[in-house]
Amino acid sequence: MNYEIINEKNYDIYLLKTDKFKTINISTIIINNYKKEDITKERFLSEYLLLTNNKYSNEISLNKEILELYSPTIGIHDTFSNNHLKSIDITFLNEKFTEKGMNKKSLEFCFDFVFNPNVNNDMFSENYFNITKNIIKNRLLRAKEDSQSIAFFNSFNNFTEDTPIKNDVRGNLNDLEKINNKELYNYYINRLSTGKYVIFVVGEYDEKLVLDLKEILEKNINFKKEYELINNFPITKINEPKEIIDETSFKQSILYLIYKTYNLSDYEREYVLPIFSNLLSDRLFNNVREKESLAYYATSDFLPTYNSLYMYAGISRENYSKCKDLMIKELNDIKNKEITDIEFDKAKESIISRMYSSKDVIGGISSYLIRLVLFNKKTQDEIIENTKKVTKEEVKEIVDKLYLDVSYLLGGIK
Amino acid sequence: MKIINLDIVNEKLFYEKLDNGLDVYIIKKEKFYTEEAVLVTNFGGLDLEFVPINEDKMVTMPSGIAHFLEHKLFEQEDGESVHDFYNKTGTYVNAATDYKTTKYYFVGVNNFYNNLNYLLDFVGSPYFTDENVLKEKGIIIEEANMCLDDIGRVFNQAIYKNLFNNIRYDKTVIGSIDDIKSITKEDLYRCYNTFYHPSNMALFIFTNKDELEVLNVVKENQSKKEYKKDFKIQKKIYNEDLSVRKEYEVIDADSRINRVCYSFKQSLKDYNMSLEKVSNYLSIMLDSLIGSLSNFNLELKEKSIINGDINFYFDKEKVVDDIILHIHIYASPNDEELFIKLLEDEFNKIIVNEDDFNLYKKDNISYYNYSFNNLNKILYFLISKYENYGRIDEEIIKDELNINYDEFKEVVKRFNIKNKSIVSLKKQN
Repeated sequence: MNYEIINEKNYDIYLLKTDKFKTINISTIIINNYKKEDITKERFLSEYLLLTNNKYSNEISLNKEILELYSPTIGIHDTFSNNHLKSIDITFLNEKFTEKGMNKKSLEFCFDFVFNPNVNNDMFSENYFNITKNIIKNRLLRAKEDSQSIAFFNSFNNFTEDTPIKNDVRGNLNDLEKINNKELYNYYINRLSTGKYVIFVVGEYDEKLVLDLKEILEKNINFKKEYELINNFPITKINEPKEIIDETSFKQSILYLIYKTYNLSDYEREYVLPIFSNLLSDRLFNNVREKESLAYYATSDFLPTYNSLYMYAGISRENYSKCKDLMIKELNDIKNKEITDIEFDKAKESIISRMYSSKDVIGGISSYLIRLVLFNKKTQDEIIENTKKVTKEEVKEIVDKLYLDVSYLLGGIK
Repeated sequence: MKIINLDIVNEKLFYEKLDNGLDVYIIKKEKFYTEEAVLVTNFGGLDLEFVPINEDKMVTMPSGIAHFLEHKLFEQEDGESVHDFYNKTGTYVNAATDYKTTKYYFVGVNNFYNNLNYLLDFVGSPYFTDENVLKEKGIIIEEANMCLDDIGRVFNQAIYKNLFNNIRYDKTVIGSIDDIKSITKEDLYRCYNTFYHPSNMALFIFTNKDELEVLNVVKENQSKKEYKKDFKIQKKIYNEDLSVRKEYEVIDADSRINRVCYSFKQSLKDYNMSLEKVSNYLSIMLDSLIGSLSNFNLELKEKSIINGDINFYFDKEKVVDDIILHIHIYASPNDEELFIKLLEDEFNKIIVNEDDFNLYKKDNISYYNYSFNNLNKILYFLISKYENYGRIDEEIIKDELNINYDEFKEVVKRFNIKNKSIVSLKKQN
């Protein structure tokens, strides 16, 4: 991954040039510390900042400007790890394909969302504050209807390591009700002045775009602070597994089995665990779904940062025990039964293909660059090369490092 | 091979109709690793009444049969499953059924020609037995249960059901549990043999290879398969008029928020304009009136009459002698009655100024450029044109891009909300 770095006194810019796309992607990441009770505030801010700003004080003028600028896509995303990352992302058509001057206008447009909010008398616009509150409230209420996300968050909330994976990153209604306009504005001002700014540019940028970008940043950022981002939360204890059953009125039950991955080396976490999870998913599909017809979906996934691997399936309530036993058996059988060449190659090829495909999407390139720079993660090429080297024995050895921590059932009607 | 020039995005789309009737569209991008193909058959959840091939009487199939058939085509006689074949090379394979089509697709970075041949072969070779049909029922019933927990989906089903009298929107794509249980291998073969004829299908390919070479692979594959010649599918075309089944209904579901959908029907005949143009102008009108550029949407949010934006969606149905356009407007109201009153008032005084209208010209250019710049969007952009208009050509693109304010005003003048149906879902405490 060849990229250019500009380290300035108050910010850093990482630039990756490619002419593969007609668009340019810029992600501005503000890193800050946070407390659990700030999650809803951050969600609120991200929504508010996107709805309006000082230049476009209502969403109609703002939406008209979006059309004038050939419809750039803009989003603000929050990640809550040991620190908080607010990512302001814009993807716009390179002016080569639209009109001269559009690159600069798109840049200015994007940074107005961050640095130039709609504020009156040291408060956010009362009108948009209320609109934002209604939007977030509706979103949180709607989340209570979504069995899939309820099962995910409830099960990880019971994980027995005190790490950020336990947080419900969607926010909550209690915290929402406590948000006060004036306090939120002060919070925002404080965040701007304590954050670390890292900017990532991917696309066919030119010198002029970089100069324009620097000019905006110089005007708005006048300090630099360092934050450490953790990419590995080690497991500290192994417990007896917890079994939780939540009774609900959903028609389908959802089963989650969450494992701790204990004492994995970096090599195992980065390269062996993904193959393990792929292989396991394949066996769950073939044996739980296809052979036993117990589920429409039964699969596995993993969170290397939190040293966790999990399996989940949508099932009928009466099949709970049978399905749970079968899924645990499938996991143990990775060690106990032969891994065929075909299934082993399938697992590896799936990862390698995903890496190549991520290079075909501008957001994919940007995301791997961000992971590399901020979290010291591997590049797509490193993942491809090292995935090829993993052996079957290394995959089998993972089973002995897995400990069931939570068995969670979102219980549907019996 | 015909070249369709997409000058607006500086791309070329290659097209050929094969001798057996299969439409093949190929788009080439040399710098991309990923290649993809989507095989579409015009057979979906609505197609329940038809004359099976080699028969002469109209039959009625159980609901969910198109979706069931999609599942079963993944089972092959030789024992290797379709998933196993594709996964060996890290290729993703899947399928999806909606009300009007079923789509089979793969996405991968190597083994393209084998993958392409295999797609055409596995969709071309059904293998249904009593045992494998029975086994699939458990899986599909679980999928149906999952759908029943999706309130948005349950809401939409009520909306469609209440808007149409004869078109089979009273049935779901996945089917009722009883209907799923009743499906037999004979039902599946009758549907397969009728609707999986190449003249009822289209193949969309995104590749980094030479388009002629790709086309030749498809042609060679198809030349080895035999299909009945001059076969025309006879499926029931419904005599659906503009009246609605039910004007208002409150449905019961465990919802945490209020939802309302205001739907209405329009006749294409009333507009005296092509479907492409009417669709485009209606979309602009709705966006200006109740969407991102509307004062109406903003005011309702400011006054807390609704939470979040108003959204809209429209589709079309082919009926005897006409095309019915149906438009659905969604909101989460705090005061439903007031919302409906204000919405109707708004529709009675539609004004879109020319400056606002002209902004959409830029938006059209952006839409094409973004769609052709994104691997995940290109084929589905093309497929949506094919599904909407039954073809893709320069004429369609011209109609979409060359919008005209006078024509737009004409569409606005003829627009009406006389034939409406409202579905409401109240939040549970």
